[in-house]
Amino acid sequence: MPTKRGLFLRGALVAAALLTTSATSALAQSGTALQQILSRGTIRIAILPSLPPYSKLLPNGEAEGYDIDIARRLADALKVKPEFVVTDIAGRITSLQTHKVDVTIADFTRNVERSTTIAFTNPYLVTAMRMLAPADAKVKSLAEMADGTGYKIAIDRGGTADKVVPAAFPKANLVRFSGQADQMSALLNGQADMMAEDQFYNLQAIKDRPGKLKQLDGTLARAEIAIGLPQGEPDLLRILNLFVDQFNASGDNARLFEKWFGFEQPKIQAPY
Amino acid sequence: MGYSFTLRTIYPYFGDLWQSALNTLSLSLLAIVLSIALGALVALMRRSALRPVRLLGAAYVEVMRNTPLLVILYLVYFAAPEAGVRLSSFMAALVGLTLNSAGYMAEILRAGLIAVPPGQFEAAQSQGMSSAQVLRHVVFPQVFRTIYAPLGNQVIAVILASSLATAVALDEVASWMQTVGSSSFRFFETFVVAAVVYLVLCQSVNIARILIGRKLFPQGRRA
Repeated sequence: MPTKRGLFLRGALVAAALLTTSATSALAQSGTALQQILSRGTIRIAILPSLPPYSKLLPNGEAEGYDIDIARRLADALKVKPEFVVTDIAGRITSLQTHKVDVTIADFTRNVERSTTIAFTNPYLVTAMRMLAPADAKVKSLAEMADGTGYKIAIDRGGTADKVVPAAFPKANLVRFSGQADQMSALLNGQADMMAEDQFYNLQAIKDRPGKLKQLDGTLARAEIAIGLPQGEPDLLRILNLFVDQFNASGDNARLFEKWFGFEQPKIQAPY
Repeated sequence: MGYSFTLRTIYPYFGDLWQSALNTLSLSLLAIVLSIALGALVALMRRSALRPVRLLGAAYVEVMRNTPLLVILYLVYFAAPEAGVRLSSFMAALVGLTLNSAGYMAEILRAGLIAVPPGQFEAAQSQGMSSAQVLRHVVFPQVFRTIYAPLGNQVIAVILASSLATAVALDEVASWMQTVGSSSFRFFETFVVAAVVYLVLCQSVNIARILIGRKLFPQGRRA
């Protein structure tokens, strides 16, 4: 006769097995993503709600920003309508894995580890991660921070910063948030001493809050920003890469960048 | 295209899971104990002879039951510093979770207080016991026996609600799930692992509660 504990364990295993199988079958969908976009007449795009000037939700529910304009261009090029799906840092990936969206355009840094579960296009922007601090902070540069002892640094949970910041400042105290809005709150009311973010986000944040913030000298990491898509979709990847290459080469990208960021776009190709 | 479920990809992150589970457990247990104490106070306030005290108790319960825990956590962590009160992630989560759970605990304890026959109060007082002695020796032992089963619901609710502490940057199990998910992009694996960890934590605490109940109330009305 099975013991109570044995029954409980068995139940837990069955529950875990059910969870896994249902997750797997929901993902196995037929038809390529490209065909679905074209026959549906809309392209579903995952975006972030509070990362100006990349993307921002307005009070009326409309989205605007550099990434949003790129998404609209992409939809135009495909002759379909854009449908924005607001998500968070984690949702940028899960929504692709579950095919809830067709692409993610959200200041999305590509790297090899991430590429094992989703695919990325060629980059449309190269930026750097830098440190944002209150204007009255004593520290001026990353070099002064040594091993990070005594600094509380706000980062995005599992974002690029979660790899880069502990490597650069092993003794720093990391506070992880799910999104830039919470990091900014923590920074502004002293729950964190600084936050690690995209330098272009930082510049906009400094402009939006005059006299309150500054950017520290020195960069943490180079970041290639690309469009994300589900893996195993060679047709969609081929078309998105063509779109990105032409968007970069035509000067459209440089014009859009200048419109949203207010200065000239840095070079996309690294000299190597 | 199918998704291949591989736990192997998140093995390197299992080291952090232990500390996260400890944080979840210590936060939850502390919040449970503190919210029983605070809830008992509020439940007694609701039975006070003084109307303003009764109203204050009722107001506390309604405010806490009608505001999302997430909002309370944000107020304690992000807004309180504006008023000069800066709490660490753990302390902010503990304060928020305790305040919230005390609203529910108060109602559970009030039900237990109502179930104590009025004659018990009178009999105890006629023995020359002070009010505190009546509560300590006569009333609360009966209250806890009555509410021991519904208390189990709230205990589990607190453990599950502690997952919201991730919003105030506490490294607990839900935080581990999101952090490892976004680092490795293996969200399904981390979701399933987190679900199993919560299941084990809740059941362990619940079984401990049942065993303690058997010791405390050897005959009848235990659960």
